Amino acid sequence: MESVDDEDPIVLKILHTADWHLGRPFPSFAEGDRIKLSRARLDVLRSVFGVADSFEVDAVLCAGDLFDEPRPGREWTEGLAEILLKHHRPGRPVVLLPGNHDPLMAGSVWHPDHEVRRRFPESVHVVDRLDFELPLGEHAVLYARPCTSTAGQEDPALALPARDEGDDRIRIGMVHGSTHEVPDWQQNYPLDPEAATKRGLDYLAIGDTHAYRVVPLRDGTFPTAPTVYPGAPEATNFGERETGSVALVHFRRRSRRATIHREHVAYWRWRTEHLTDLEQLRGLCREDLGRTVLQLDLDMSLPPAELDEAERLLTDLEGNRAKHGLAGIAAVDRSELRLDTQGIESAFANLPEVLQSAAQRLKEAESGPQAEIARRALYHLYRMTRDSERA
Amino acid sequence: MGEPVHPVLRRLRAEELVRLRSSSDERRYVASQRAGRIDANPHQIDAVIFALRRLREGGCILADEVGLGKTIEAGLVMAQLRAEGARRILLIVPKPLAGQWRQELFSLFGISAKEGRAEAGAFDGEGVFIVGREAAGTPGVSGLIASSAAFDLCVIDEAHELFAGIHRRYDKSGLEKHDSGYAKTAARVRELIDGTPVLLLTATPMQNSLTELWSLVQYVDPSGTLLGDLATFRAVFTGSDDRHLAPGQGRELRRRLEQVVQRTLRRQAQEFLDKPFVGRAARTYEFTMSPEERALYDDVTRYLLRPGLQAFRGSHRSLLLLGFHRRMASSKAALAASLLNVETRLERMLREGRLDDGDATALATAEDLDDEELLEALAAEEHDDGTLDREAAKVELEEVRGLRERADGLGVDAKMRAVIAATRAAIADDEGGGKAVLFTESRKTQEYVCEQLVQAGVVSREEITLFSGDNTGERAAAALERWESEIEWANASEKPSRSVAVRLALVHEFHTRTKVLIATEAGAKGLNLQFCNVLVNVDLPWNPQRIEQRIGRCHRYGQKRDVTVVNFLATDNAAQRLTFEILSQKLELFGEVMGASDAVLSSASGAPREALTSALGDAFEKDLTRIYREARSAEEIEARLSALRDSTAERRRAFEEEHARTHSLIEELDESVRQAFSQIAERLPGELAALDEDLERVVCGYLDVLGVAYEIREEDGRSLRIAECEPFPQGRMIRLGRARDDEEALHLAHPLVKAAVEEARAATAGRIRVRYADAPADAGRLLVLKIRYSGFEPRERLLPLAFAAEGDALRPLGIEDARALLSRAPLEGAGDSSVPEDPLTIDEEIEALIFADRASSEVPTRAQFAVAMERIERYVADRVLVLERERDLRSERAEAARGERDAAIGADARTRAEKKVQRAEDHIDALDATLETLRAGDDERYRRQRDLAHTRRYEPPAHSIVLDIEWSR
Repeated sequence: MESVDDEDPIVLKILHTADWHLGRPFPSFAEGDRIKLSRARLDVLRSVFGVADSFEVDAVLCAGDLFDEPRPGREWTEGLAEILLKHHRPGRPVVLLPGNHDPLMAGSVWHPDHEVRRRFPESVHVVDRLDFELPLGEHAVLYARPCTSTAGQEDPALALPARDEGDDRIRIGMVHGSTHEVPDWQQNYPLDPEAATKRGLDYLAIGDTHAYRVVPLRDGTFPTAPTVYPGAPEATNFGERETGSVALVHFRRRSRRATIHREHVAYWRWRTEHLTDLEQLRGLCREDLGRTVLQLDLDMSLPPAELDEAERLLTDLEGNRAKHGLAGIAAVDRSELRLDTQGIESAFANLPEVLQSAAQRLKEAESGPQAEIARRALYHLYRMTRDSERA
Repeated sequence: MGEPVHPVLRRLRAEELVRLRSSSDERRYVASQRAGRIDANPHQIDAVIFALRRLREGGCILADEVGLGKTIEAGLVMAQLRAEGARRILLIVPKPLAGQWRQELFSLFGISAKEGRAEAGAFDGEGVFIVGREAAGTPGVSGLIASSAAFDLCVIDEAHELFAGIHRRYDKSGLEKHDSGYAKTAARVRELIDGTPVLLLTATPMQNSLTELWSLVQYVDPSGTLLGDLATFRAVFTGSDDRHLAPGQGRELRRRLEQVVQRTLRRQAQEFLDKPFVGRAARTYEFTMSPEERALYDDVTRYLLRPGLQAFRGSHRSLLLLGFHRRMASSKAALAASLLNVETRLERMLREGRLDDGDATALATAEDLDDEELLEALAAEEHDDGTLDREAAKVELEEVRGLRERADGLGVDAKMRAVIAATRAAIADDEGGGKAVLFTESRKTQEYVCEQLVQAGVVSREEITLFSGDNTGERAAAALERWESEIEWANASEKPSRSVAVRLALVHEFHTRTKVLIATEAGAKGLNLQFCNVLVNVDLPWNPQRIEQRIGRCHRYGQKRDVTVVNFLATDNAAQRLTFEILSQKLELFGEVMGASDAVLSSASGAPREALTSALGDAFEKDLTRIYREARSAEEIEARLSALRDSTAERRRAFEEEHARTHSLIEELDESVRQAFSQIAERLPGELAALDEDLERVVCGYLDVLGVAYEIREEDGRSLRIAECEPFPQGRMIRLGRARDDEEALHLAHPLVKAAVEEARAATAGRIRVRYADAPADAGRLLVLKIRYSGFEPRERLLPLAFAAEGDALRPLGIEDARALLSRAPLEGAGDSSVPEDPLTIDEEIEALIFADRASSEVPTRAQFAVAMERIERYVADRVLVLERERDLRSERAEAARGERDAAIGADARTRAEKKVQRAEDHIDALDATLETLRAGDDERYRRQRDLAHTRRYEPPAHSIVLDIEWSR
């Protein structure tokens, strides 16, 4: 007999996601990689809805910043519409919330007049009014409040209605905003960490922060009714942690207590590496990086032969027209990859005298006022001689 | 015999035993092992796990080095799938290996494969169907197969021979050459297996070209995305030509191939084998012909080399001539028979006054050489429509007659004396087991050797087993009869065909009774003679692969002693010495002279011997054939053989270089292989014991219900002895554990196990009422759920749920309570407490249970999904890479065209230049459009495969209730 965690009965299942940032450009990457990263934001929704279909959830709650801007290109609106149509399940609402990146405003994608709204299947609901309320079956109800500008100062969660006496339904709230209180820092759509409790909600589905996070109260404890950031299903930048998932939330019949299961959906892993010696680089190249977006800073000074090896490894990582890179996507900063000029004379030993003397002069200039320029010139001279030797 | 166990426990045990498990679940892979009479090795089990995991996605290539038991791996997979309900399996093998396959499937797995013939209905119904691959590629047989029901699995042996020869099937631009014979055969086979999971077996997935790998992969990756189309594959992965890998692409290609190719090398398997590979040592008996023999051989050689011989005109010229050479090298008796053949032919020609059609003579030669391939080649021989030169024929007849008379007049020849001495020495060697197998190409030689061994008193006739292609005759019939009476076959429902049975019977005779086996070429294929370690090559075939096959009969997995290969060499025959030198030194066929172990051969010489003979063997045979057909003097033969020796050395060097460079692509790192094998080796005994215990419990529980008397015997292992009774009129003796050759073993697909499962299910159908002592409440419900996960790899889990009755509702109990209830035997009789219906609570509990279970159960599915998605993304990336290169090239051309336009003088020139620019730009636009489609994820194949991967990943599990119990105290 198999083992399994003991569970209480479930009466409602929802999938909670946010921060898709469809249409986000990635200007610092090469063209092909830009397209890959932008497309991944749409592609991951197939997995998001795949999870929803697979677990046969009762509702899909999408808590804002679904587009990166209020007026995204057709490619993204149509792409979303196609996915929503494909995953349309009669009777299973999909609720889309405008966030601060894609607020509900005139001309925005969420405005009732926007053409894409007509392409959405009937199960899709856009939170396009301040008093949005949607029953989720007999036992539950959803309250939601959209962002109406890119920067708002009111707490949308506290603006949700409080629980009426005698109402024993599961009450779920959905808003977009920040629970982080940074002193002297203006917050957009600030959220009170205790809002869920204050408004008698059993679960507060929020979006904004790209990391998966169950928000603690100010005293560090966790309330019975959780406030949750599901995080972005695909990361949007290096340095973001705990991204790449959605929250599957199950509610018990008797206690209305939410159980949260985090389900991974991302394709890409974003990773930053700061390497200071060649062995680290060798080690990195031995790893499986096929689905990694790699930001690599090199800070090392290497003698000629090792520098050559480092260059070869970097080409292996990045790829070129001749071959795929080991890394799915690589952004390499070589500016601090330096030639260690100690003993470099030997690298020029068998070359014509004119090159040897040029190298010698540059070597001497390294101790002068233009040391940096001299070192770079020496490096380039070295590279040129190596390249011509190979040719 | 014991008291019947409660039906609830019987059912639980039965369901637990037969539930579908994932490929990495130890219990699943040990179950497959019990289905066969073998002790599988870690590398074989690793291959089975790999294959089972890949089936849903199309299949895989099992590419172990020769001698590691790919047949066993395929047999294990087949047996396991059959145990899990697979009904139809198609096996496509090279025709000469069909007998061996049928024999091994029967003797190792009790599977009686049906021979797939070109007859209506031959492929209908259930079973394992075996078909020669040449036949499978014909319209008739492929049509029959296509019109029969779908197969659950298709196994293709020596798959590289069918699919790897890419140049025969594709043109330079990567398009299929639909009119080539190879393309047609391959295409028909491909159609046959469309949609069926495939196991491709080959020890040499790549010999010369990387495209061979590409070609094989097409059959196990129906998505077509792993390596893309041929043109893309070439552009991305091959360098200056198909033999060379593109610089820097090794790791990427390897990563991809790892997904579908499983390959173990001998040196990796060696340390985990119970019976490690033994060495191979050569022993050469040199002999000197008597002056009379020498003169006869020289005269015959001179005769054969003479141009314009009447005896070899007409049809089948090459065959007769070369057959003559082969038989002459075999024995004096075969030479005499050949001469008589020619004499008869010349007489017939003179009598009829025309060139002979040669059929009778050719047939006699081919039959004597016991060579099916030769027989098949008869039809394709060239014809000579010239007229007979009567005078020349008369002179020739006299000459041949004279030669024949001289041959008949010779006594026992020098070579035969050497054969007698070698055989005597071999069987006198107690350490060697006192047996020897002698191989010859000629039936005449076979008779002659048999006769001479008896006459010389080496052995009696009763101590010799003769083995040939058809094995008719009284001795064979007697062997068969004895075999049938001595061997109790396990599974009465599966009987081997007569040809398989006779082969097994003769091997049995040699194993248990006789000392010497004299086999013709037909015997070399497929016999397992690992109990004998002396192999005598009375003569040597021209194709080194055939020699390797002969040696492989004894020098194979299971052989415990070093194998000695005995050869004979005439001291004064330069041509023979040169040929022997090539075989023994350039191809190292016979092993080290001093008998050093060749277990690590692949690392010693760079490439395994089998791969080498496989790569160079055919060319060597062709060269020999050409030399003997074209040479006009003994000196010329010698000179050309010298050249062949040098060119073989050169070819070997090139092959090894190639092998070293490319084979790392399909070979895993030793350390990771070691870890995997160690883990399997460590867990295997415990898991097997647990399985045996469970099988015993289920079957004994069933026998108790039937009231059948049985006992468990502990004699040299555990056995179940069933007494004679109504369902088992003769009683039964069943091994509980690993069965030996003639024993019946208990395994998942055993009829008794199936019957036990059926009985337990029938006894607990619907809701049943029981009583439990010490129950956690007065009354309640107890369910056992079977959750079936599909997706990338189907598997089933059993989970319990318990409820206590509380008023008119059910209260869920903890999982420990549920387990505790199920672990004990219910009491006799049903209680009288009523249990409320509360479907809502039950449904909710089931949902909660499945939800919780998925978190842990879907881990492997997530990993497989990740691999599938990356494969699909890389498919697009490959195409983008190729198109970007093309775009760069076109951009350069466009730029040049613009330059030409700007420099053009005169309206016409400008117009022409402008058109050129326009064409270049149009081309770039078209490339851009394709690139955009690809990058946007709009490529059709990409979309289809992506959606398929998502469907598999997110397919929700199904569940059913296998036990529904209403309990009370």
